[in-house]
Amino acid sequence: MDGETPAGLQVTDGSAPAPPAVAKVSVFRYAPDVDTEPRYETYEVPYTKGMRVLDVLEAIREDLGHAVAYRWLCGVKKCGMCAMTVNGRPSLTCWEPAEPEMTIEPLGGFRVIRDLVVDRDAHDGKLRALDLVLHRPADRPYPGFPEPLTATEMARAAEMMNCIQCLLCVASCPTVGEKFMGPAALVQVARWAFDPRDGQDRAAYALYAGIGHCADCGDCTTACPAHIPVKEMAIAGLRELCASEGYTGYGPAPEYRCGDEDRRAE
Amino acid sequence: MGHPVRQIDADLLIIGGGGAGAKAAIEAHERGVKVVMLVKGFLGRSGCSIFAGNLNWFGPPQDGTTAVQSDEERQRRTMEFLAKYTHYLGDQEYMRRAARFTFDHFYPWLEERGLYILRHDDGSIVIDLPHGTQAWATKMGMSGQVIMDMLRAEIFRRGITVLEETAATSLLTAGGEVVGATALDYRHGEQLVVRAKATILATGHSNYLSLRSTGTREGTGAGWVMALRAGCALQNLEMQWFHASDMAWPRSWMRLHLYPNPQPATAHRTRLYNRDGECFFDGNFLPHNPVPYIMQLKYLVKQVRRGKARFDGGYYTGYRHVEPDVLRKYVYQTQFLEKVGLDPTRDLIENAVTWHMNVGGIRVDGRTMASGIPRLYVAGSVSALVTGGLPNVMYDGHVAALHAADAVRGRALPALDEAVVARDLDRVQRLFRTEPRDGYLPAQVIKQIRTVMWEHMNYVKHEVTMREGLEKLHRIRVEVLPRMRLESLTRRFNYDWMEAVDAEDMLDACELVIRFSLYRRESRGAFFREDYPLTDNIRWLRHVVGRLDGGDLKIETEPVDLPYARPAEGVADFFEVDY
Repeated sequence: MDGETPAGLQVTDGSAPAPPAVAKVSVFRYAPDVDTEPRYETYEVPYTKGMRVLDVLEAIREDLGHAVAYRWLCGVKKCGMCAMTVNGRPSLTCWEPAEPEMTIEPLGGFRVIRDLVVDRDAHDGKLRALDLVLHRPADRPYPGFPEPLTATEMARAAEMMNCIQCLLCVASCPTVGEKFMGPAALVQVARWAFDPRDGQDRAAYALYAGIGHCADCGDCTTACPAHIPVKEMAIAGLRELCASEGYTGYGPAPEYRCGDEDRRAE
Repeated sequence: MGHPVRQIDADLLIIGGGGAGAKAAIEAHERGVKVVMLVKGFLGRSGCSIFAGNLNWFGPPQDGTTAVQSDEERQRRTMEFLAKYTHYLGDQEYMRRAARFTFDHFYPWLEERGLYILRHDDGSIVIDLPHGTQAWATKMGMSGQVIMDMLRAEIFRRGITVLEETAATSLLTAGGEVVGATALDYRHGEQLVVRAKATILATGHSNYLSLRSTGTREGTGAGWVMALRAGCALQNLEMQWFHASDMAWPRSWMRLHLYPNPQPATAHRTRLYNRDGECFFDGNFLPHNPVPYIMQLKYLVKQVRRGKARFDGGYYTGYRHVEPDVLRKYVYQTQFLEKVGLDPTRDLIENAVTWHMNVGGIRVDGRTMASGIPRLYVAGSVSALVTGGLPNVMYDGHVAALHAADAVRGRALPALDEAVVARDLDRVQRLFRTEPRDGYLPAQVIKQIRTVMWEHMNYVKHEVTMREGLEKLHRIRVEVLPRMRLESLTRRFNYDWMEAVDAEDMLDACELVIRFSLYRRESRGAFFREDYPLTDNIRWLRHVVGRLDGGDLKIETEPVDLPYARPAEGVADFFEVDY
């Protein structure tokens, strides 16, 4: 209609290098109630265009007929449920491309229910103690829709709303454990702390979630598939809030050195 | 066999953890009702509602902040939209109330709880230009996700009992009433019997029935077939929406919709291009149509017939004419395109069609969400009231909860019919088997079913191919289902067991869709039959309704009420009308 040329079609059809014919995968298998010990099974799956890691798992079940257990509920980075460890790295499997050779294991730091399915309940239970709903202060009740609010005021809170609770940041965090709920919990606290409509003492919740035990290594930001600046915006912003509210002990934890894997909590 | 069965009692059982179920749970709990929710996936993290990308707005053009001043006009525009959205088969009295709810309740109720409707820096609400038909929560494509996240947090904060990774497997009947449900908790390998004073069925769309579907593995049609078996009527199941502009690849991303809807903060809409790079559709070809899905497909058919596109690929969405700033700031999809090496300001993105929302579903009373079976209410997209949309399904949940809360007050728990309970539990138990060893995994059977639907119930339908599809489904039923087996008898997250139940339900659901489709001898909206290519408002502006009669499906038509909007045409060329 306006003289479009098909130039874009060439780009669409292959700016990436030619993919391999098959993806070779080694998958962690373990059903604790019937298996004596975990094992790894290997499969070869024909490569399809743009293949994601999740697509490989789907093909193992649907086409090869092996009943690997894993969660997925959306396929497009909304549900956060398909997080696993791929070649040693916490990965959202609907998001990351399949590699020619892969080892797929359950997300680290969580109890395995079966195969690639982990128990998220402990994490979800902790979040429930953080009062993650809006608390409008008594002197600023809701004025009715649409309330006065600008994009600028909501910019940081909106960034936090990108969190899908996939828990990759938790699996990447070297100091998460008994005393620290992990970066995902802090993102949720920050989501309300950064909302100008909220009147709750969110700094206290950040401390309760263990912000003082965060070592500021930034592995959470690197891991986040939603591109949330976890360290730079969520945690830094909460620390500023803690300081301005007169709290102490909000970190960063001084003793941690990046790469010190021994400190990693189970 | 030693199968563990757990029994639970509830005032109100809510089946489904999307927008309808979540709203119902909050409203019922608010009224002191003891609620138990069964969620096949995770509350607010699975099913259709998280996919809701856009929110109906219909504010005055170009000025969102003054929208509340023109209620009547907004309702009129919403009504007009919903009538076309349902090809004039939607319940118009219901739509009028749902439209009012959208503006009087949905937005303020959610905003009071902290929802962020996307604003400009000056505080005005971001709308599409110039018509103001849509608004968005944080971004185009993200609205449902952030809304459901809020509802999830509120429901847990209220301490409502939520059983996740637990799916209803039947509605329990006793003395002509629905008295609860059986369920399968696949995470723990345990069957449940839930007894309830009232039940709200809110299982969402049946949008996993074809090989290319926008739905995920929960959307198996179980809601339809459980309701049918419990005595409900189903309506307009043939009215199957397809999407024309979903990603052709990667496979998981077939659910990533490249919205043809009006885009945020721009007058541009997406365009479709054929194999040769010729633009054959632009949302602005029909500037007053806020949801051009139906028209995209009508235009696509012509390209396919000329060999310039295929339903499974070889045509493209283009954003090249859209301001880069709009794509960067407001469109969720942009990051996906970049992830696979595409630049939406320059490149075209290959599309293919997908099986999407259902216009039809369970026939209900649009004033109360009552199903016609005592104690059973139906809410959200599993019903036949409207095609979908988060404000609409939350309206359903709201209304169903109010009526169910009234109904359970002062009532005793109903008695179960033990023979029915045993029958329904046994149906699921007998699928917990590893024999025959050379049989099929449920996931393989489901793929076979979905492949039949892709090949025989795609966008273009014909009696001959539909009957072939029915015959193939019959062969799967008699030859493949008896050979369906699990890999192991682990009780820990044995999703295969869930899928074995799903495979049986999907076969029923798919046969229903084909039989309804054979019955309607016209083409309308989402539904195109090559052998009956006219939109026939004289004979077929009617509901196709099916119910069980002595164990057999009986299909007939029922009249459609058209109190507010009716099509101008009598009989028309399918390709020439815009609904």
